[in-house]
Amino acid sequence: MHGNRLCLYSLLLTALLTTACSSNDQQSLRFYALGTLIEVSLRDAETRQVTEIERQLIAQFQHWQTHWHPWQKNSDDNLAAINQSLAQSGEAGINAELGSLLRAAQPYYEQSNGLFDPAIGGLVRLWGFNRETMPTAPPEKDRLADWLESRPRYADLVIRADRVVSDNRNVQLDFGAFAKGYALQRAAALVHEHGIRHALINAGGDLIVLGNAGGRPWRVGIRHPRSSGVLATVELSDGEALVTSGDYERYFWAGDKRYHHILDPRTARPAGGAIAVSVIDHNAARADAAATALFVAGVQDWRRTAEAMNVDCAMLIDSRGRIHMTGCMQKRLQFKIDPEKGIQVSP
Amino acid sequence: MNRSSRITTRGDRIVVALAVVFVLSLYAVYWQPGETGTTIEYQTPNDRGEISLDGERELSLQGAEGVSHIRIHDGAVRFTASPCRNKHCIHSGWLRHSGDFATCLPNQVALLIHGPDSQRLDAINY
Repeated sequence: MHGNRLCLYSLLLTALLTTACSSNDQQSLRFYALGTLIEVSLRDAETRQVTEIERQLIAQFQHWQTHWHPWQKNSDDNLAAINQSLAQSGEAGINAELGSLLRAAQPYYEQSNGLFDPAIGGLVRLWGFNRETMPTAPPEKDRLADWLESRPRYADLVIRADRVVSDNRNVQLDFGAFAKGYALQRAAALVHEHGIRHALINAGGDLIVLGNAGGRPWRVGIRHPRSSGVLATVELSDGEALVTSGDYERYFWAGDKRYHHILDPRTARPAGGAIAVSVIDHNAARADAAATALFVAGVQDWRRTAEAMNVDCAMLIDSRGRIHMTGCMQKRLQFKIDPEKGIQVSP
Repeated sequence: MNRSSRITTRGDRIVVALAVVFVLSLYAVYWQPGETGTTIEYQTPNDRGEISLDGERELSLQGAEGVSHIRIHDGAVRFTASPCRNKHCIHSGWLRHSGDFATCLPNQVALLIHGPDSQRLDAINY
């Protein structure tokens, strides 16, 4: 009888503990940095780990926000200071942190054949997409032609140990198409270093996961590019990042024409042909660079660009609402709508 | 069968009953899927929570730059006012289905619709 009672009470205790744990096995951190909401979900973490991770992540993201800002000269060695110096003298000193960022972007610029190009900061500024409020008109054609004539490229930049040099004074660096992915990869490493094996880090919709969501994969919805709902869901496994570049993120209307923020360095105008590109990769920095490069490549060249960048899982939605996918991506997605009929393009 | 050979005593059964009530009350308090099975997850700079999509209500959420107003109506929710310039959150319109979301980035207020727990998404990629 004592054995039976012990067994019964053990079951009860297990049930109670399971209930108690289920409300505490995932803890979330939220803060705003890099112009967006950063959300970190940590599973099976102790309170002291969460506190320390929160402190370090906020400090790290704030550091990046200060040092990677292309236009606000927050310090003597941030990106804005480098841009100013490049424009004035064609060279600038760089610290180790910025040197790492600059070097990390280099292979993706080369692999994408310049479709991902962090040297188009001047063009971003010309269009006004660097400002919080959207412009009301596109730049004058002459100014775009002047920029194309000078055509700054990332290849113009020579990155040395402690300085950068450029013969083209119009090289202005803007890592808006790369910084979030690079930061996600670094943030995931930081979380992992603290012994956390299961986590999801979401930087304004671009995200990376570690481990799983409590015995099942992390389940993520990909936003429909033309409505507020979910186009498809995907389950992500340990270390995978999912990044999407869409024309709905930043745009403005001038008359009856819509201008979005993903600029084609070859034309100096918003890239045509695609409305959204999603990439799954084990490297969030590559996924971020590739999402932009594939978007700019458009329907004709996106597959070739994906291959050149060693990206297996990618999806492009063209301006007619047709969905183009690699075989890898097709196996991963579960569509919530009929993809052929569900996407309508706004005029 | 005599009394001493029973698996449980009256006391055991009382303990079990109390435990079951306790566990159910924990679910009732901490796990609220909403009567219709859909809820709104809201986030502000200082708060996060879930509320039911049921009923007819207007709520105020304190954000970083002021108060965002939302309206719940007929199983859907939308921003009705927010202290941002471009009003993207308001233009998002009604959010009704699992996975629908809208964010007022300047005011740091976000809304996300959840469906039944089995269909719950851990994040939205955009």
